[in-house]
Amino acid sequence: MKPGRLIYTLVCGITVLYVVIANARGFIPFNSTMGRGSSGYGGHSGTAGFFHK
Amino acid sequence: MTTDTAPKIKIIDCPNCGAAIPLRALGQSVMTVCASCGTRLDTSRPEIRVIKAFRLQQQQLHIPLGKRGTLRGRLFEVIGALRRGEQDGMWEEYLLFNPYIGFRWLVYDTGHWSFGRMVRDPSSITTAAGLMHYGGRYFRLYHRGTPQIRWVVGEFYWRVAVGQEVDATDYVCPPMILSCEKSAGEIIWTLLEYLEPVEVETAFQITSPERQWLAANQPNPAVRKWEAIKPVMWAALAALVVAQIGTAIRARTTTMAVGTYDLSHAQGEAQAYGPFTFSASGSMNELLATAPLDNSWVELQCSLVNTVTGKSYDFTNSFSYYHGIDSDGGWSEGSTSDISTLANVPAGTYKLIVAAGGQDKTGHPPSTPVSLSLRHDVVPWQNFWIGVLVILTYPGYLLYRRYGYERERWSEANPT
Repeated sequence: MKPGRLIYTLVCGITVLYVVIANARGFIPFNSTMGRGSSGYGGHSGTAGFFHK
Repeated sequence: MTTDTAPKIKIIDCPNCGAAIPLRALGQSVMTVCASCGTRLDTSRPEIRVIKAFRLQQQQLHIPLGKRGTLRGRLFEVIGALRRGEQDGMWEEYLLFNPYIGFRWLVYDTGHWSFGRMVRDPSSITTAAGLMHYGGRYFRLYHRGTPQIRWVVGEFYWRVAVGQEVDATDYVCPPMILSCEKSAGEIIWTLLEYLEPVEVETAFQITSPERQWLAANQPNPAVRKWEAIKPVMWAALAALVVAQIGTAIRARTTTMAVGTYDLSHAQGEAQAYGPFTFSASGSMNELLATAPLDNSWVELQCSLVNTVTGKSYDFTNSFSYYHGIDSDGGWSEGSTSDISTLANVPAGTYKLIVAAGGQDKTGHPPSTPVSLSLRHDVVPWQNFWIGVLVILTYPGYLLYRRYGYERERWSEANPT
């Protein structure tokens, strides 16, 4: 097998493996929601603390 | 033909200069040209006679006459060579001979080689939509011209003379060329296949000059690479689709109504919703927030808190919707809903804590409440599309290279 095809085969294999594992674990690489900062209103951090009060 | 069973070679003396002329295809060739003086001799009769005598300047051939080499598993001997030329260039055509196979052509042009044979069944060449169809391939017109023989040496199966012209038309389907030559009521079709120079170098133990520019039938390297990776690509895409279908089947997507958040009464106050049971481990979840906004914005600061471990997942959900009329007419921007994604959340019981704020065009909180709903264990598509993108990146690059290569090839075409 030529190097180009070998490298491409490896990349494809790793990609498929990644998708299978990531899907099984409910993982996505670019989650823009979690940890997203305030855009306008602000000042509402610490809501988790409210629950434990 | 093998070296052990080489055909008999008859040696004659050139009537003009006395040099020895080997006849390698006696009985099949009709003429030969003396390599020493260029005298043309008729070999079609038992008594060899001079067709035309003249002095010929010795020319340097890339493959000397009499040289033997194995091409495509068959041994051939070079028995003749000629140079043809047009205004924009010159090329060499070597006549190869094997008594058990017949004649073949080896064409040299600026470092490129093509191996050709005469088309025995020209009636099977058909025209379809401006293309020539032969042998399961569609050939596109590449070049028309009137090349002239500039120099000739050796034996040939037709009477060759310097200055002879043919109307030549080349049709290309890489790595093949279908060449049509018309002369004096005769039409000859030749099928030529591109040979890598190393094949000719190995066959005839010669050193081929470096290739210059792109040959008409030179194989597109991007196509070769594409053909090599195509099965891998399809297999990977199929595996990806199967994996995604498996994920979709396994997902236990459930929608849970959370409630509403009334900004007009509770702006900034944290409110708790739930508990909600997340049965799937390592799940992806979505919080959908909607409100009929009218020139206003809403921002929700949320925490999904595990009631047992206390671990929280903090995230923000915000959206705005504005509309109006200006000199260009009506306009609108934004949305009246937003979806927040919560990835990789373990199974357990959770409460949702929300503190929201917002403002309408009067500076007050929006009067309509924000509706909230949770979707547990949704099918993640992002990984699938990232996988598709990764798998298609290299084929896409090859497609781009292929297009550029073909554009360069056809920019050299002269079909008029």
